[in-house]
Amino acid sequence: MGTSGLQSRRRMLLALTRVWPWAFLIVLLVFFSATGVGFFTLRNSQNILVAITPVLLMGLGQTMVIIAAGIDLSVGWVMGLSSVASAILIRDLTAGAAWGPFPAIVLGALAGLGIAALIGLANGAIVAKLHVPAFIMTLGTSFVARGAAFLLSGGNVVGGQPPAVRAFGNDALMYLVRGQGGGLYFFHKPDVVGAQLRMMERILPWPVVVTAIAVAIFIFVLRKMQFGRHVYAIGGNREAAVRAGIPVDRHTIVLYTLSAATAGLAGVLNTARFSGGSAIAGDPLLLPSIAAVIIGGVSLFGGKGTVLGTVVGTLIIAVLQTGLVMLAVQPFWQFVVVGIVVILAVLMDQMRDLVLGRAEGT
Amino acid sequence: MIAPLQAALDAGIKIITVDTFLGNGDYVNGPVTFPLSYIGSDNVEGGRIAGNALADALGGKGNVYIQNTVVGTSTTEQGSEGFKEAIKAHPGRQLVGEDYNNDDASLSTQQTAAVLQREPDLAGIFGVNVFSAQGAGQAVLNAGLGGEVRVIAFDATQSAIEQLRAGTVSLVIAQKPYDMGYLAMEFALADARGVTSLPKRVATGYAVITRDNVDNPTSPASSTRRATSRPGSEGLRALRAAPSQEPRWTAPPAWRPPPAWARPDCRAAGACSSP
Amino acid sequence: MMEQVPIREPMLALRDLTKRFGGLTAVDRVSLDIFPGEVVGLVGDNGAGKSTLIKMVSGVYQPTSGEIRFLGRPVQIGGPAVARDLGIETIYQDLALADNLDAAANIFLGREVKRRILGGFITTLNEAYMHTEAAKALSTLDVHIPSLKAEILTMSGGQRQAIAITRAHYWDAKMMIMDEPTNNLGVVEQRKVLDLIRRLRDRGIPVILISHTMHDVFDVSDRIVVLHRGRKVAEKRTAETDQEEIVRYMIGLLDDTTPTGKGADSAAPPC
Repeated sequence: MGTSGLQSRRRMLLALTRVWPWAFLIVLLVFFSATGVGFFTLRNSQNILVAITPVLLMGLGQTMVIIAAGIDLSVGWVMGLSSVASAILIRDLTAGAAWGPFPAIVLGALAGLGIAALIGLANGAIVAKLHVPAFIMTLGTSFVARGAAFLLSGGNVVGGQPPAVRAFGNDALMYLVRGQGGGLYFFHKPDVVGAQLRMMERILPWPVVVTAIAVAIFIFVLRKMQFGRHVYAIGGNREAAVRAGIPVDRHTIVLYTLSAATAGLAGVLNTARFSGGSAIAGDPLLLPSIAAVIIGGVSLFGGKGTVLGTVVGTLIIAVLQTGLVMLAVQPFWQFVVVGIVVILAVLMDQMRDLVLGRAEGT
Repeated sequence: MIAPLQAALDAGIKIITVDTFLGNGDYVNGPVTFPLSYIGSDNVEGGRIAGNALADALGGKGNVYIQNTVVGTSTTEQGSEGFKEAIKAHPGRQLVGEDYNNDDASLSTQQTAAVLQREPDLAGIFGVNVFSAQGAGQAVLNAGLGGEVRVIAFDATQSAIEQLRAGTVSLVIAQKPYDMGYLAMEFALADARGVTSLPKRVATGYAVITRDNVDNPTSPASSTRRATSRPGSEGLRALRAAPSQEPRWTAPPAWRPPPAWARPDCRAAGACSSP
Repeated sequence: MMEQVPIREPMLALRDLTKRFGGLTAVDRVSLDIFPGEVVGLVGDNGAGKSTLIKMVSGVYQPTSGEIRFLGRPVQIGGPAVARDLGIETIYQDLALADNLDAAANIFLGREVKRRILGGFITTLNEAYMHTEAAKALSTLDVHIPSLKAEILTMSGGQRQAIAITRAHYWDAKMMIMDEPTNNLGVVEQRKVLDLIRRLRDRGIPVILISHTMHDVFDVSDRIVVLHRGRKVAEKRTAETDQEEIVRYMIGLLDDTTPTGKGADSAAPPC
C-alpha cells in the first residue's frame, strides 16, 4: 500500500506540471493589474486578444503537428504568402468596381487559404511518403513560400484594398459607448466623434471572433474526435499506431495541411488588419508561436499537450509584452523575460519526465 | 562586403555604393576609401527631419514615442538617433519611450496600444519604417485617436502613401531612391569618360509628404510613387531603357546639385514641406 | 473453471514450414500443432529461429515453403491485419501501447467506438462506452490497474503488459503469441503475468510463449518446443522433462530428430 501513496504523490506532481501555465498567467495578470498602470481594463484586454490572433492561429496548427511528434517551420512564410495572395486577389477583383467588396474578400480569403493548404499538402505528403524529416522539409518549403510571396508581391506591400477589408480587420462584434447617447451596439460601428470616440470600446474585434471559433474547433477535434485521439497516439508511439491499423500517413498529410491552413488564415487576417498583403508578416511570428506552444505544455517529443495550453502560452507572452511596455521597462528586458519563461516551461516538462521516470519498473 | 568589393576593384571594376556604405561612409578620410562615391540618404539627417517635422506638426505641447523595428539595423537606428537629437532641441516635447517590434506590424500595434494607455499626453509617434508606422497608426485609429495623435513614417513606399491617404499616418518622410539610382548611373558614365572630380558623398536628401502635397504632380511624392523598396532600381531601369546615343558629355560635366527641397539643410532655407 | 473437453483437432497446424533469406535458412521444415487450452513454450538459443517462426504465424513474414492451417483450413497470412482478423494476436516485447493514453484508449486503439451527435452530422468518440467496456475486459481477466483514466505511462511494466494482453483478449483473440512477456519485470509482476497466461489458457485460448527464462517456461507451459538452428529438435511435455535436458537440446547436444538422439553439436566439448 506504500506504493499507492507514492503513486498519488507522483500524480499530484504531474498535475502541478500540467497546471503551472495557468497559475503563472494568473500571477502575471494579478501582478500587472496591481501595478496601477491601467492593465486590467476592457480596452487593454481587447488589445491583447487582438494581438495574439496571428500567433495563436499559427500555434493551433503547430500544436497538433507537434503533438504528433512533428514540427512545421514553414508557417511563418506561408502566412506571408497567404497575406499577399489574398490581398492581390481582392485588389484585382475590386479594381474598377468589377466586383463588390464582400465576394472579393471571400474569394481572396479562400485563395489565401488555398495556397497555404497546397503547401501544407506538399509538406505532409513528402514527410509521410518519402520519410523526409519534418524539420528539414518544412524548412525547405518555408524558403519556397518566401520566394513565392516575394515573387507575387514584387517585394512590396500589396495595397489597393477596399475599405471593407480594413473594416473586417479592425471593426468589432460589439461596441460600448459610454456617456450620453451611449449603450451597447452590435455589428454596427456607431458614428461618434471627439471624446466619445476616444472612450468607445471595441468588444471582440472580428479577428478575435474568427480566432475564437478556430480555437473551439481545434479543441473539439483534439479532445472528442477519433482523428484527435489518433494524433495523440501517433505522437505517443508511432509504431503502436501503425500496428493498431491507424492510417498514419494519411493523418500526417491532414496534419500538415491543417497547420498551413491556420497559418493561411492568420495571413488573411493580417491583410485585413493592416489593409495590405505583406510577405514578411509571418516570419517574426514563427518562433514566438513555437515558444507559446512549448510554454503551454506541448512536449517537443510528441504525445503531450492541449490547445488550451497553447492559448495560455500565447497569452502569457502577450501579457508580458504588453505589461512590460505599460511599465515602461527597457525593451531589451522584454526579450530576456520571454526567454526565461520559455526555459521555465522546458524545465517543467523535464520535471514531469523525471517524476514519471521514477515510475518505471516495479 | 569590403573584401569582395576590394577584389572587384583590383580586377579593374569601380565601385559606387548606393543607399548604403562601406566602412563609415566617409570615403575621403574614413577607414574605407576605394569606392568612388556614396550616394544615399543620411539616415541621421532623415531622423532629424522627421523629428522637426513632427514637432512642427504637433503645434502645442505633447510627447512623442518611437516605434523601432529590429534591434541593430543600422539604417533604422540612425533614423532613431536623428529623431531623438531633434526632439531634444524642442523644449516641451518629451520622448516617452522607444520599443522594438521586430518588424512585426501586429506587435507594433500591441505595443503602441499599450503606450497610448500609459501616456495620456502622447501626441506624436515616429515609425522608423513602414511596418512600424502602419502598426502604430492602426493602434491610434483603433483607440479613436485618429487625427489627435500624429504618426510619422520613415520611408515612402507605395504602402506608406496609401496609409497617408487612408489617414493611418499623418506624415511621410521620403527618401529619393529614384535620384539615387539615376545619379549612380550618371556617376558611373562620367567616371568612364575620365571625370575625376566626382564628389565622394552625395546626400540625396528627403522630402516631407503630407496629405496636402501628396497629390501635387511636381511634389516629391510623384517620384516616390515610382519608387520601389529596392532603391535605385527604377532609376537604373529608366537609363537602361533610354535609346543609346552619342556620349552626352564631351567635357567633364557639371554635376547638378539636388533641388532646394531635397537639401538636408532645407530647414534653414525654410523650404522643408513645400514641393 | 470448466473442465476442458479434450479436442483432437489442433487450432494451429504448421507443416514443414520453412523460411529462407537468400542463402540463409532461418526456419527449416518445422511442423507443430497447437491445441486449444494449452500453453506451449517455444525456446531456443539466439538465432535458433523462434522469432522468424512466430513472425510467419503473425503475418510479418511469408513462408518460403510449407503450410499453415488454422482451425482446420489452410490459410495464407499475408500481413499482420490478416493474422489479426483470423484471431491470432501477437504481443511483442515493446507492447505496442501508447504510453500517453489511458487504458481504455489503448484497448480501443485504432478501433475506437464512435457515436453521432448533432443529428448525425458529427461523429465523436464514445468515451463512456469504451471506459465501461475496458473495465469489464480488465475484470474478466482479473487485472487490476490503479486508474482507468490515468496515462499508462504512470503504470508499472507488469500492468502495461496486462493491458496489452487484455486488449488482445477483448478483440476475440483465438490464439495468443507472446514474445518475452516477463522481460524487465520484477518478481511479483512476473507472477501476475504468468497467472494471466494461465487464465487465458483456462478460457480455451492457447498461448505460444517465447521466453529465455527457463523458470517461467517450466512454471506455466504444458509443452515445450525447442528450436536449434532453425530446426525443431525436441517437443516434450513439460512434466516429462527438466531444465537441464531442455538446455542440452538448445545448445545442440541432443536432437530427437536424429536416429541416435545426439545433436549436431554433441561432438563439441561441453562448456
